[in-house]
Amino acid sequence: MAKIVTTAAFFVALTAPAFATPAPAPELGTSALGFLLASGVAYLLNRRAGK
Amino acid sequence: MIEASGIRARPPVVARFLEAIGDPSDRLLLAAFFLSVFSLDYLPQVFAATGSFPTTEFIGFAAIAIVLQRLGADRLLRRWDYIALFVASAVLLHPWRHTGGLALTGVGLLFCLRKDRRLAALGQLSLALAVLDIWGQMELTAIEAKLVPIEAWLAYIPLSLLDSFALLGNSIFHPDGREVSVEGSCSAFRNMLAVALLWLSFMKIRNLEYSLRSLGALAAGLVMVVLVNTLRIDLCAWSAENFQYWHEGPGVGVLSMTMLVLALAIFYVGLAGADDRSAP
Repeated sequence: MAKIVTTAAFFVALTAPAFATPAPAPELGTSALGFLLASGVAYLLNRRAGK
Repeated sequence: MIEASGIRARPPVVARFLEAIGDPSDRLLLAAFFLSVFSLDYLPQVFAATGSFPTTEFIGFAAIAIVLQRLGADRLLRRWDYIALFVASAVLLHPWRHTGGLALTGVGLLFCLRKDRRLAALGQLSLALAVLDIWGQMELTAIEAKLVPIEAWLAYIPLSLLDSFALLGNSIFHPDGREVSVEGSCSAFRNMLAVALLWLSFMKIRNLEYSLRSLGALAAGLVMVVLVNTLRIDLCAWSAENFQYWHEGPGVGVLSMTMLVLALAIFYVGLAGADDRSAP
């Protein structure tokens, strides 16, 4: 039981700061246009994989 | 449509649906799990107030969908996998923002080393999504103190050649005394993880095995992110007007799109022509 509690406490302590850190700016591809471009490349690669 | 017995036959779609629910295929179970994670954790980001679009994560899920398509009607899951998927799905019920990341981590660890390429691909993609969501941020917090001064030093090199800039720790000083501090949130680290997820997604979509060429494409993508981020820090440090434009203004979107377009170009050139050694 003590091991479980210690592990859980360690996990919480380890992960807590991560969620307080703000996301960086700029992030790669954060627009719908970026998604469309990336989808286009994914489509082309998928088509090549199908050949 | 009346059968000989006089009982009205079910339309094919309903019959197929009932058959699928009665004896779900592995593909259906996995698709339901990934669709749940996507709908709960990722789809709402499109409608979030910040307006940022999770492009790389969406491409990751597109790769998962394509790999699931290749799964066909094959039965690959073991008894333990069903239990794990059940537990992971139950975890998703909790409203904490990052339960999806934890569920993906569990499923990813379970599948990532499987012999079947498709299950291994699902595991690797799950882990990559979880790293971008949770573990990468945690790792950045752990190494931030050591990483940020290196990125500041990289940005300082070209500036020192152009004018009498000075570097102290993670701060770059303009000749007129103005200071620009490179914080953890300015680091290229998260974008490197995003580029790595994009690369992995394209690898799985293209159904390639890891090779020198594909790893070279990844390395080129990562170097590109560091260079663009270094350029951004340099632009921010150059003048107050530049800082406003590149840190707060339209420059953020310009660099975001530039990074994405360069990454897409590098990966397309690096992966499209590679030998397809695909298994099933």
